[in-house]
Formats: sequence, C-alpha cells, structure tokens
Amino acid sequence: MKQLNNIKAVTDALDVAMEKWNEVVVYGEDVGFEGGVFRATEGLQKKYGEERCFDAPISEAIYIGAALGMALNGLKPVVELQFQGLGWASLQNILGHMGRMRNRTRGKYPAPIVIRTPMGGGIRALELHSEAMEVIYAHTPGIKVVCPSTPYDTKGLILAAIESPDPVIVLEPTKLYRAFKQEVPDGFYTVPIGEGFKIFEGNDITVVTYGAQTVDCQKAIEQFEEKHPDLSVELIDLRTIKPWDRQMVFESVKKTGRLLVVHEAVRSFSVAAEIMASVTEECFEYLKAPLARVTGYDIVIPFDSGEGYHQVNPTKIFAKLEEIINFKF
Amino acid sequence: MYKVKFADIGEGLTEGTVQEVFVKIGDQVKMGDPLFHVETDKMTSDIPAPTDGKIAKILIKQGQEIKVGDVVVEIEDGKTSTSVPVEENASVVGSTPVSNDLIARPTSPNPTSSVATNVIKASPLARKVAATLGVDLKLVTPSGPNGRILTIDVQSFKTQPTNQVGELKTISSSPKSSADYNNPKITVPVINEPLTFINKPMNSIRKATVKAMQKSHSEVAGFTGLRNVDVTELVQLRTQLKDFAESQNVKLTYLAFIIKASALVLKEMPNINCRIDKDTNSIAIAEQINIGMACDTPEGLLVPVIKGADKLSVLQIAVKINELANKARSKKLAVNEMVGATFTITNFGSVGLDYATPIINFPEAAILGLGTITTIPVYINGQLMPRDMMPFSMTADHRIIDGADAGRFMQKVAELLKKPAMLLI
Repeated sequence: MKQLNNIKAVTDALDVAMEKWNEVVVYGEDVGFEGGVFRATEGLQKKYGEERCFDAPISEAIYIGAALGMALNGLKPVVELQFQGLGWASLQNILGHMGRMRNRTRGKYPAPIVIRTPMGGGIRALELHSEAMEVIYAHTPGIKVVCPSTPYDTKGLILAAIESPDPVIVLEPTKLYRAFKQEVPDGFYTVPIGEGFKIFEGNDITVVTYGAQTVDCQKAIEQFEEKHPDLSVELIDLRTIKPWDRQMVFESVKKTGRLLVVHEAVRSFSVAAEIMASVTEECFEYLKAPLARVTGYDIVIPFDSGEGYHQVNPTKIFAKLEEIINFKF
Repeated sequence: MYKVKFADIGEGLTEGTVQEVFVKIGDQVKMGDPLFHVETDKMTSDIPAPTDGKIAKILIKQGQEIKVGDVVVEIEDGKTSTSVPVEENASVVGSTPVSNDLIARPTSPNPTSSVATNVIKASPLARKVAATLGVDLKLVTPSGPNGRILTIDVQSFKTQPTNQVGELKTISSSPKSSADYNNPKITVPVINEPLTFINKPMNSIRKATVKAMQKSHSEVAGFTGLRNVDVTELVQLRTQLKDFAESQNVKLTYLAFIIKASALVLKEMPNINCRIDKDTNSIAIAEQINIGMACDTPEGLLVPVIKGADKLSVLQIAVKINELANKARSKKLAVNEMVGATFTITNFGSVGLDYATPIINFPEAAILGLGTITTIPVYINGQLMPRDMMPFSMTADHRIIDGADAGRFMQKVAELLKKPAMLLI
C-alpha cells in the first residue's frame, strides 16, 4: 500500500482508470506535457500517449463542450478545469447540455463525463483561483458533485465518478493537495457517491462539512472537547455534495439535537442553507438549539492580504460550537 | 531542520502554558514572526521564530504546559537535511501547504448508525415553554403524533397538583388551637449528600499568586495601619484638570496623584523604600522609587511597575497607569514591566472596599491600600462640613519599619493630598 497525498491520489486514480478503461481520455490546459497546473496528471501522457492525455486549447467552453461530444460517442472524458473561476464560459455546456442530456434523450444517452477542478482558497492565490462554486453545479439537475478531503476518498471518489454513467464534478480542495499523506490501496476501488463519512462519533452537536474545512473542524472539535470533556461532537465529512447523505445527517441530528454546517463557499443560497432547510423539515422536533453555520461571506474572494480574515478557520468554528452549546431556551 | 526550544524568557522561568499557536504546518515564517503565545508566572508573551523557514512540525497545542528546554516547533530552514524529504510545492499558483504528515486510513466507512431511541421529541416551542416553566421534558407524557411532546402537554404537566401542595392545604384548613412543636406538619426532606467538589485548574497567574502570597505571609511580620485622609481638595483639583487632561488624551485618575504623593514621601523617607537583605543581614535601601500598581484582571492579580515615579509628573504617571493597566488586562505586559517595584499601591476602593489588610508584595517592605472615597460630615475648626474622605490601609513589615514610621509616612502622604497643588509644583 502506498502513502500518497491528495494530488498523488488523483494521479493514481487516473492511472488506474486509464489502465482499466481504454475509453478514458484525460485532458485540459497544460495537462499533457506539463502534468497540469498542480501536477495532477504528471506522467500520464508519457505512459498512455498523446491520444489519451493531451493539452486542451485555452478555451473552457470548447473543451468542456467537446467532452460531451466524446461521451455521447462512447468515450469517458476526464477533463481538468484549471480553476473554477476560469470556467464560467463552460457553464453553457455544463448546465445547459451536459446535465440534461440523459433527460433530453429519455435515458438513451447518458453523459459519462468527469470534470476535475481545484476548489477553494487559503493558498494566497487570486480571487478567480480561490473560489468555491459547488452550489452552481449542485443546483443543476443531472449533475453529481463530489468533494473529497483525504487521499483515500480522492482516489475512491474519482474512480466512482469515472465509473458513473452521469456527469460528475470532482472538486479538489487546493489547500489539501499536499497537506498530508495517507495509505491508499493499490489498484481499483471506489468510494460510493452519495455516502458521507463519520470522522468523529459524538452525542451533543453534529458538525457537517466537506473539503478543506474537515481539517479545520477536526482542530476546532478537538479544542472544544478538551474544554468540555463531558461533551462530544459528531463530525460528518459529506464527501458528496450532491446527492448528499441525508440519512446520515438526519440520524445524527436526531441523536444530538444540534447542527453546525461549515464550508468556505459564500453563505447565501449555499450548501449550508440546503442542509439546514432539510434538517428543519425532517428533524424539527429533535432540535435543542438553532441550526448554525460557519461559512464564507457573501463577497468576492479577497486578495492575499485579506484572505486570513475571510477564510473559515478553527477559531471561528470553535466560537460557533460554544454559541450552540450555550444556547438556552 | 531548526528545532525551536522554549527558552527562559523571564527571570528563572521554568514553565509556561501555551495560550495560542499562531502557525500551522507548512507556514512560511520569517525570523521574528510570532509562533505562539505563552502564559507564564505573572506575564504572557509571544514567542518569535528564531529563523526563517517553513513550519515542519508543531509539538505543542493550546492549553499545554511546556517546560524551558522543550522542543516546541520544528522549522525547515534548509540548513540541515531532514530524514524524510518533503515534497516540493509544485503548483504554479499560490502556495499550497506541503507536508509529509501521515493521517490515519479511515476505518470501514460507516454510513448508518442506529437512531437514538431515548431522544425526546418536542418542538422548539414546547422546549421553550418547558424551560420557562421549569418542566423536565423527560417526565412529560407525549400526546402528539409520533410520540411528540406538544406545548399543551408541558403546560398541563405544570398545572398537575402535587402531594406537597395537598399537605400544605391540610395545615391551613385545620388549624390546631395549641401548637405541638414536637410534631411539625411540615415534612423536611433528608439531605445528606456527601461533600463533593468540582476542581478547576489554577492558571499560571493564580499559581504565582499562591506562591507569592504564601511567601509574604510566612516571612513578613506585617502590621496594618488605618487612617482616613481628607481628599476634598484633591477631588476639586482633579475636576478642574480633568478636561485639560482629556484634551491631551490622558485619563486622569486619583491614583496618579496618590502615586505621585507616595513617591515624593518615599524619597523623603527611604526607610520605607527598602527591603531586608538576608545575605548581608542588612537593610537594603532602594535608590530608585518604583511603584507597583496592583491591577485586577480577569485572569488574576497583576502588578505592573511605574518606574521612577518620583521623576514623573502627575500627568505622565496618569499616562503610564493607563498604558500598563490596558496591557495588564490584555495580557500584553512584558517581563520588565512587572519587575523592580520598591513599594506597591493597591486600589481596592474600586471594588467597593473601605479598609483591608493588604499583603506586602515580597520582598518589598510596605504596601498602601486605597479605599472608596466617601463624602461624610467632618468637624473643621468646630464647624461641621461635608468632606471627601479616603480610607488608607498600609501594611508594613514590622521587622524593619516601626509603627511610628508607618504613621509618619501616612501622615506626610495625607498632608500632600490635603494640599494637592503641592504635587503639581
């Protein structure tokens, strides 16, 4: 078993998929010779040739649209979108065609496309390189959205995404690309799309998060439990944003009676908003405190110097946990 | 790899408690950047990075006790090779954190867990009503769908009569003509709980206070003298000068005048501004006049020092008081701002006390305590007048300060405060 960080887990997943399915093609800007802006596809062109791993033109609208054409003709394209903020031009194809192809053709033509893209800030990049736009994709019918936070999940979810007959957007938290390593099994395995993972078992507060904030939440919860040894917090890494693991979250909230959702994307009309609304519908009579969220602000991502204020961090999460537990009727 | 050790940052410091860690693994730091915040006996401080580099390992966490000499952080400074090479940050945009840290593999993902069966189902409104009425929801029988406790269930639970109420009714409805005190009608519950405690750990400041107070109490032969000082004119003078001080952005308090007065008298009476030198069996008379100022902070008592108080004007002392008190409250005091006092003043009047028996800030020889200013009727030359009086409590070490000297000291301070314009000359 290898010890891989997240970026190497991406490479390993693509390698395994290209080995397993001849119809998998990998491309994007600088993906071939350079190995991608974060070096996620390093070595693939050399191993599988320029036909299966190649550089795309700097035109997201075209190469994402081309993916649909390839998929409809039997290939399994895995496209790298260099940054979410650079992909606006591709939304016409993603939202307008890719997501609705199965419905439009009454099930005749699914669109087995995977779009991989870095997500989130905290790396001192520019605003268009730091965005977390998961809701734009998650809001669109017909598209699945996953966001792994560990190397094991990264490889398993990418392989599940490639295996999926429907389009899947894989969001890769930039901050976690090389932040730590994990033992990852060799060869093919999948992490099922739609299943959350319980990082900590707890009885008093449920925290739901995904991506880079899993790390922030773990730190905050450890600090919180150190201060309150009699309390325990249940931490759920959603792993899939759409369809999210409603059952796991509802069962947890029914047990704890309290919910905190954490993500770095903007607050309004967000994943947190969706989860909180659903929990209110399903778990209303179990609630012991108002549902809470720690998120980014409703602003464009600030430049480097303001990033520290903007980013979700363990301090903000810890403060919110305190607020929730101290709520009294 | 540079291994940062926790060094002695005070005088003979041995340990501290980590308050906050400012860096995370992968952070780039420059020499002098704060790494973490530590609280030690009587002071707190940011510990700066001793070298440029990337944070490779953090061996401390918030709340942890660390000892001088402990390795606290490891910084990759590129000078010594690490045993495991860390992968380079290969991305071309931004700076992603890079680390070789190994996290655990997830155990078998466990998407389902049994829903707890003992949970109480009640709407937030019912919960609120229960909290308002003091009803324990566990005792309420639910009547709502799916076993839900309704608001009305909580309200009707509250109105159910209890046995105790019934007994009380019996008493009032059938009064006896003569009371039999040996057979009271009121039942008293047997309360015989074993004595239990909840232990709260002491913070570093409290630990230091325990140590210092014990030492002072066991070594010093303290006696406390009390007297009232007429500060009527001081009150008037302060009122006159307050606006001017405000215009200079200075908060002018009575304490500034009292520190000034004490400093002037200490200069005149060096036998108060002294301490015992055990090694030479002599009385060491301090050549400087440094006034310690006891500050009440949420963490405990801190005593920053106004150095050379005899050389400062009242306004300059006021500026120092404000600066040091703010630093004390925000735990920003540096070590050298808390050492070297020769005499201490403590203002317990601000928390409502008139008199107290202050404990000497060892190894000093005396401490002056200030009570609340109160306007009371006083005879002056046979005439009753309202005067502003301030109680003084002075504890002195009777081994080297005689009662008469302590009395004379307070007398002189009182004279200056009676004619406070003298302090401005």
